[in-house]
Amino acid sequence: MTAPRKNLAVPGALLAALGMVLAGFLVLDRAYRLERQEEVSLAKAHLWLRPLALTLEGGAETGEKLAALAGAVRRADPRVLELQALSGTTFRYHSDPRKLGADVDPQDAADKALYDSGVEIRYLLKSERRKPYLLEFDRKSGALKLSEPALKGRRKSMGTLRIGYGLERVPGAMDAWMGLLFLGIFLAFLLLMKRLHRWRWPLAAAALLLALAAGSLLLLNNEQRNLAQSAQAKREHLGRVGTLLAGQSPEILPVFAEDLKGGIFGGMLGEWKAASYVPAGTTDETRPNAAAERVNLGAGGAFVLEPDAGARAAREGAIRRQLRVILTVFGLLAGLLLFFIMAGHALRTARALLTYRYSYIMIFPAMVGMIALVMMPFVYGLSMGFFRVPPSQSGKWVFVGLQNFVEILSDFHPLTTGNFYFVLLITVMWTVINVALHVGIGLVLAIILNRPDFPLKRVYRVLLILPWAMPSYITALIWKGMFHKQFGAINAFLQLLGAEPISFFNNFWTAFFANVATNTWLGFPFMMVISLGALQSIPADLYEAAQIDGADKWQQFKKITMPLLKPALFPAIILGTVWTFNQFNVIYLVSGGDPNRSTDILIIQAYRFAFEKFNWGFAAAYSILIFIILVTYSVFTNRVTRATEGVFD
Amino acid sequence: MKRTVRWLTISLALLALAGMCFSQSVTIVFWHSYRGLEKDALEEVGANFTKAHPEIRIQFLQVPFDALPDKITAAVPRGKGPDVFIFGHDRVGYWADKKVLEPLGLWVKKDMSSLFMPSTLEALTYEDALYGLPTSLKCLCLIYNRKLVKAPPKDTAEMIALAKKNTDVKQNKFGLAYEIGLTYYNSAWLFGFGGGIFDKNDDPIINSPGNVKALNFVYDLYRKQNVMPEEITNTLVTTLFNRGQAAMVLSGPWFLGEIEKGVDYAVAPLPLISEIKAKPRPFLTVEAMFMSSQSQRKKEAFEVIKYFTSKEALVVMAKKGGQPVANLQAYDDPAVKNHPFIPVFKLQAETAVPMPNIAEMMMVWTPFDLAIGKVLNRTAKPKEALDEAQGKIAKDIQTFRQ
Repeated sequence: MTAPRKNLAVPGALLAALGMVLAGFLVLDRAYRLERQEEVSLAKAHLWLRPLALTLEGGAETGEKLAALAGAVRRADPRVLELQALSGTTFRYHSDPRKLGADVDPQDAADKALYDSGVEIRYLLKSERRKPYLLEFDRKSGALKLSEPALKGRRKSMGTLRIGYGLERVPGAMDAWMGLLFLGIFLAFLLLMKRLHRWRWPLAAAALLLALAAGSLLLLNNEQRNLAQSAQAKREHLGRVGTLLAGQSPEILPVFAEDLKGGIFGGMLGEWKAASYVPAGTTDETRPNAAAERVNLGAGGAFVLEPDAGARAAREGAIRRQLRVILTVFGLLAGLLLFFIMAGHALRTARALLTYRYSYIMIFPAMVGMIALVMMPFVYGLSMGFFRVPPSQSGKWVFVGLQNFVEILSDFHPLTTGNFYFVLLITVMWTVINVALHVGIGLVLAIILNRPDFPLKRVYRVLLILPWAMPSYITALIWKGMFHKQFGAINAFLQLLGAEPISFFNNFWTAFFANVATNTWLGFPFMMVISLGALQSIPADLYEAAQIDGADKWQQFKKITMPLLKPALFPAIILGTVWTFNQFNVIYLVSGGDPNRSTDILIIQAYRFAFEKFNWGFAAAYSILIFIILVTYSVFTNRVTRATEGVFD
Repeated sequence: MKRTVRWLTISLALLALAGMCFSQSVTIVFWHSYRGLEKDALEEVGANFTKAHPEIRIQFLQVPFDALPDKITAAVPRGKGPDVFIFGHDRVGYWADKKVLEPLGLWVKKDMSSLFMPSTLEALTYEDALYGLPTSLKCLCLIYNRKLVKAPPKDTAEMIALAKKNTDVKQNKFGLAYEIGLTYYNSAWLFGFGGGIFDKNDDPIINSPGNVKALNFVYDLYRKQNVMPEEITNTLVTTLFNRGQAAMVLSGPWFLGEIEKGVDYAVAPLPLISEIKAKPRPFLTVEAMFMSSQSQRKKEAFEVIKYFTSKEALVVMAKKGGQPVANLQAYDDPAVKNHPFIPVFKLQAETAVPMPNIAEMMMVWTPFDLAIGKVLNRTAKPKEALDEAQGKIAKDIQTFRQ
């Protein structure tokens, strides 16, 4: 019965794995080609826009020159879809003749977009965070929009220019070749499997590895060829631009060449690190070195470009590195898939889903809720810890690996406030003292309230639950008021006893005491209720039997009460520990970290990093550390306490 | 039965058509965090606006003060915020970076900007772009109980002397009370003594000599003169003043709304700093109308902004809401000119320093407050505390700017 099924599993598995790898390569190839397309289009658009900006920078009377040059550019290159030059709120040039010389219309989306990009470019110029241009790709219409400033000096803008440029075609698809390669490998595998059925696992693995290797070689080769092609395209375009300029406004050619080399836009073309203009008629001795490339402008002279070998090598190296990382990831995933299907797990999973489909449908809504409300925020927070996240979370996230964690954990000056270990010590001390007090007071009160003949038991039970029932926020604020040096109830009471008033929040121990007092008041009812419940479930005849056997109250407590309380108390203690460890409200509201942030616990530190310093990555790393500590603690205590359960055995 | 159904459907259809006609009007969503008198004044201005512009309806939404800026930051980039809102200017830089605000340079004509005090427009300008139009100004002034203080002090020496006369610690009476632990409330001394927060390049200068001198003054005031209560919170200041147990308070227009009836108070400009014979220069906070960058009705929104910062609207806000308004023309109105305290705030605002609106300002408050706390608790001397704060703030700003 199983034999026919098994025969399909292996080829099926390999097919799936190969399919996945193929899809991966094709996606990667497409991504690279799009990147080339964007790069070349950007370079071409920039090469048209910059001379126009230079013309505008020439001064106020350049209106006609600008119009003439812009017109020539649009005629020369049909890819130029639109051109605008904005100075202040007036259009100095607009490819739409109706708008030429008009004011910006705040209602018009395109006008507004240009004005806004002007504002942003001025900001970029001032902050020098990145190159002062704005680029937008519109894939649907196949065009890009590039906005650049016309500079006044080095860091000020006197106007904004924008060009709409059609995107290049995306050449060099190798989908067909890749497909054929993979198909070939698969067919070869099928043929071999017929003969060497015993070796099907190694064969499948070998096929996968072969596919990975061959595919990546093909991809690399293709990408190198594309890089060379795009460099060539840029060179040709530079020639076109230069020739046009030589005809229209030859005086900006030298400035243009300088601009390509250095200045704010240096490096926009990537491939070359220097450029100079050589007017017509000069001899070739101006060639700096043999590797320089010459772009002839006919009668207008030539540009001499010095290629940046370092940049080229770096780029190829980057591609190889990327490829390696992706290969490893893909290889592992595909390998896992292969194993999963071949070992029959896939079939079993499908069968289980089918048999129990009713149950899976029932838990589906809850699963969706859990994933959306718990898993996703958790993963988001987890990932933030491994990045440097900008203060407005919508900026660029920079992957820093474990750097945040290392920074937190390697700060070994224990006396600087905010030091992780110091705060950890405070937090542990806080937790231990509080939980001890909660359990101690709660248990004692529960034992007292459990006496069968205690008067007004019900009244006391209600009163003693009140601290827990009231919102802790309000209670904490009231307690903080009570600890005030001049107007607080506690100091008034102390003065009544003849003592000096204490400034509770000026000294670490008194501030800590204030926090502990408040939290104990808030927390003991919980332990009391748990203990009361557990106590009431202990059958009375156990005590009677013990009494008959001559045990005194203390022995009864030790041998009967405590062991039977443990199953209820231990989970409560674990819960209470976790809650107290993360008890933000009380400490933030009562002492606020005073004096000088020394009574802060870990969770408050994380809060301060996030919402006072906007250092989200750090705060996330802090939270992850807290999580690790608490998970370790819970798992450990769970193991230990499980060993003491089952008292009745 | 069939006839009734037919009539019903016809009348419903007519009603629906009528409803559609009414929906021709545009609704502008307007968020604010005003309460009490200010809220009533704002709504009256809104009613006046609708009378003048019947096709624009204003829908007010009151959001609690602490929550409003965070809600704006979260909602506007998702397209869910208001069209216009009123808030203080301190987040202009932060919001401009996040593209929350619409730059008003396109809408505001030259003659409009001459209506406002130049320092208010400076507070609303970031990177050469104007982001809001001011409605009211807020700065610290001296608020005193007329029963305990007959004439306001002209300089700080007189202020301390008056405070000493009104202090009796056993009876919990104090001559002076203000939130001395906060940077904001000490700004008058910081800038008055020649210190400051940022230099021309937006780098922090927390430990400048002027700041050190100012903190020495503050420490002296708190610990040596014995005229102030300890562990001051704003609830304490309000309660003491309302019970007549604090003779003088340094606070702003927001404090006046908390004063109970029956307390005979008056407002005076801050006293001259005796030590150096210089005017104190508190922070100037400007409340302004802002437009959301995601608004779908920007033309109408600007009409609203123009009206709410005009003379008519601000006269109402001054008379009914008690706001020191920013439109200089409003002070021609006799009711505003002769108002008991509005001209005082305006006078003080003329020497006030606009609070920096750059995002880096958010990094300054906490460490500076901590430094002041340390000085007041005698845990550190002013120079050390400020040096430490400067180190922390410079590091935080560096991380923030990356």
